[in-house]
Parts: sequence; C-alpha cells; structure tokens
Amino acid sequence: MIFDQAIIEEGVGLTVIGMGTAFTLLVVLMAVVMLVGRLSRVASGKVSAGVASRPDEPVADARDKALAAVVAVGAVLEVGASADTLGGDSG
Amino acid sequence: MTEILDFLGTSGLANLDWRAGIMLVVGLVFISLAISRDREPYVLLPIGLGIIIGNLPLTGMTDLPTASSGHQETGIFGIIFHYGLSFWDILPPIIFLGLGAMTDFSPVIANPKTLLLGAAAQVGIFVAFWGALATGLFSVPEAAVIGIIGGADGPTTIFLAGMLAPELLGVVAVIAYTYMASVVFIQPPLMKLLTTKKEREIVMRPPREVSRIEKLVFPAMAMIVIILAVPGSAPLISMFMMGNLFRESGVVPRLANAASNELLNIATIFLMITVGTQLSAERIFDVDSLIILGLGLVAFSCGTIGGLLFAKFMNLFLKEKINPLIGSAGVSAVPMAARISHRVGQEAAPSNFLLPHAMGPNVAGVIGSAVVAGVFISLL
Repeated sequence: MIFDQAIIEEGVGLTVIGMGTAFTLLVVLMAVVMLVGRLSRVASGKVSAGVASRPDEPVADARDKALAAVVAVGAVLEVGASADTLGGDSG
Repeated sequence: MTEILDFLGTSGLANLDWRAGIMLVVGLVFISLAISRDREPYVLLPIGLGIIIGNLPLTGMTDLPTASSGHQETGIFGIIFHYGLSFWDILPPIIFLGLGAMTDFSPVIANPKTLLLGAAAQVGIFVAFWGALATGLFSVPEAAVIGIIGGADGPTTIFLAGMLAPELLGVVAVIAYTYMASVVFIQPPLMKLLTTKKEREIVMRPPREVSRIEKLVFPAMAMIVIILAVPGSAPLISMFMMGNLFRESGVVPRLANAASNELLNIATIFLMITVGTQLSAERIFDVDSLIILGLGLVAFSCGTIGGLLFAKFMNLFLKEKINPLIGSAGVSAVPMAARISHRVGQEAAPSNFLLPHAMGPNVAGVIGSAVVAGVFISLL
C-alpha cells in the first residue's frame, strides 16, 4: 500500500464532496417532492370542496324548469277545457 | 514462393497470438451465453461480437484517428469509440434519454424517503475508490472510474471512463455489466446476513396514487436542482429527465416512443459493440484488470450493505417502518435489484409485495450515481 499525502487529501475531498452532494441533493429533491405532493393534494381538495359548495344551483334550475312546464301544461289544459265548454254550449 | 509466404505472413492467422486466441474464445462464450442461456442478451451478444472484432488481428476496425492520418485510416469502431465514448462521449447520454423515456418515477414520488436509500448505496463507489488508491497502481481519476462500478449503472460507468480514463473503458464496462448481471448471486446472501427475519417480514402499504402534475414537476425540478448544483452531471441527468418528460407529458408520444425504442436500440448497438472492441488481450491479461475485477465486487457488495444499513437506520426514526430489503435496491441495477428485494421479501412473507417500493431506491440510485459521476467530472 502506498499512501501519498496529496492523494489522501484529494481522496478525502472527493469522498466528502461526492457523498455529501449526493445526499444533499436527494434530500432537497425529497423536500420538493413532498411539497409538490402536498400542494397537489390541497389543490385537488379545494377543487372538490368548490364542487361540493354549489350543489343546489343545477337542482334549482331543473326545479324551475319543471315548474314552468307544469304551469304551461296546466294552462294548455285549461284553455282546451274552456274551448270544449264553449263548443258544447252553442249546440 | 516468396510471394506466397509474404502473403501468408500478412494474414490474421499468422499474427494471432495466444492471448488474442483466448479472447476470441471469451467472445464466443459471451455470445453463446446470450443466445443459449438468454443471459443479458442485449449486453452479452454485442459485447461478445465486439470482443471478437477487437481481437482479430490486422483488421484496422478499431484504429483511432490520429493527427497525421486524420480519419482516413480509422476503423469504424475507432470512429465510434472516439466520438461516441472518448472525445465527445455522446452515446451514454443518448442511452439515458431512452432510459428516462422508459422510467416511471411514481414509486419515488409516492415515497420520497426512498431517495435517501439511493444516496446511501453510493457508498460502494467510494469504498472501491479508496481500495483502488490503496493499491498504488491507479491514479485518482482511474480510481474514480473503478469506483463508479459500484454505482451499478452501465452508461454512467462508460460515460465517466470515457471522460477520465478511456484506457480503462472496456475493462470497467464489462466488469460493471458482469456484476450487474450477477446481483442475483451477490445480493441475497448479504441481505439475509444483515437483516433479521422480523425485519424482512415488515409489510409495506401499497404506495399512494401519484398525480399527473407530480409526475411532470419531478423530472423538471430534479433536472434544474441537480444541474445547478453539479453541472458536470448535466449530460446524463438532463437527458434522463428530458426522456421522462417526453413520456409523462403525453403530448409527444412519437418522441417518447422513438427515444425508448429506435434511438435507445441504435445507441445500444454501437455502444456495446464498441465496448467489446476495447477488450483487447493486452488490457485483459494484465494484473490491473484482475484487481479491478476484485474491486468491482467490493463496490457492489458495499453498495448493497450501505443501502441495507441506512434503511435500518431510518427505521429508528420512522413511525411507519420500511422493509430494509428495499435498501439494497439503491444499487441501481434497474430493475434487477428491485426484483431481488421483492423476491427475498416474499421468501420471508409471501404476502409482501415489495417491488413497487423497491423501484423507488432503484431509480434514485441512478440519479445518485449520475450525481457522483458529475462530482468526479467537476473536480478531476
């Protein structure tokens, strides 16, 4: 085994920087991934909450349309009945 | 008669020495292993053919360009070696583009703690690095190239060798791929030695669903963060992450398909054959090569041990324990090391499905070894 002081120093530097950089970068990546995951879950949670907070609007709209249809049908029937009565009375 | 003798003297047979003859046999063995045993055919078949081409005498196919002759007296594999691996070193990054287009980062994103296991497994690189320095036979750049075998990543090994020690490229590449193919023999005994049965039985919950936005953000952020810190890793990391973005974007299926099929296959053909041509008899029949063979085994073993022990260390602080077997998958022989973690885990607990969890450190190991290679390039 041959150990040269300069080589040892260079080797130690490479080892510390190499392992340190690999760990540091992967820790940073881990933090970024966790943050993005959390933001993604919060964002999808807000979208779900937004949909849940307006449940009556489409239902109210349909109800109004149904009511309008009933009124219209009732009006048509009323007009028809009146016409029949008038025709029967003249005979 | 003299002319006939002169002609025979120029034949390859007259110039074949016994060491080249043995290498021809080695090449044929590689080819037969690939074809008859289906052992790593995409690696062994082209490398075996390259060994044969490189050791047949007087072909000129591996002659390198020189200042005097230029490219006129250069062989095809001399050109590919010079521009693909030595002077420009472009083939490994092209392979990484294809690998990125085939990689799914979901296991890493679902459990980002496993990134640390990929970092821990890189300790094997530095154990082999110091072993090479301790022999006194290798310079610091050569020791770095020998150490990177422990990253268990063929393209990264070839890339670094092309940059720092092209004369070692053939030897370290073949040794790296040989050990990658042998992880199934190297890892299980170490995994069983360093873990208890109870630890091997730890069941991990299925990983969570990963959203599309996470799969898009990860490669972009990883590329920016890593290259800002270690610009030397840019050729490998940028291509890896670009390929992955092609895949995950979903809007360029032709590009993703081309990267992971045609481009990857073409680059693999040229890379593997050229690596084989570098295994000349002069380089193999050398004590240094045997030492590198031994150091490669040390590198792989220490990488496995590093990942396993770090997983056990993490469990001291985690409420939801990880199965330490996935730590050995930080040795980035993708996907073989992950499959081995899964298999050994199933031997302990048949209901345990470790493969998706092991893919996390497996893929993180690719990133880790590319980062270490980048550090070596930056400092040497």
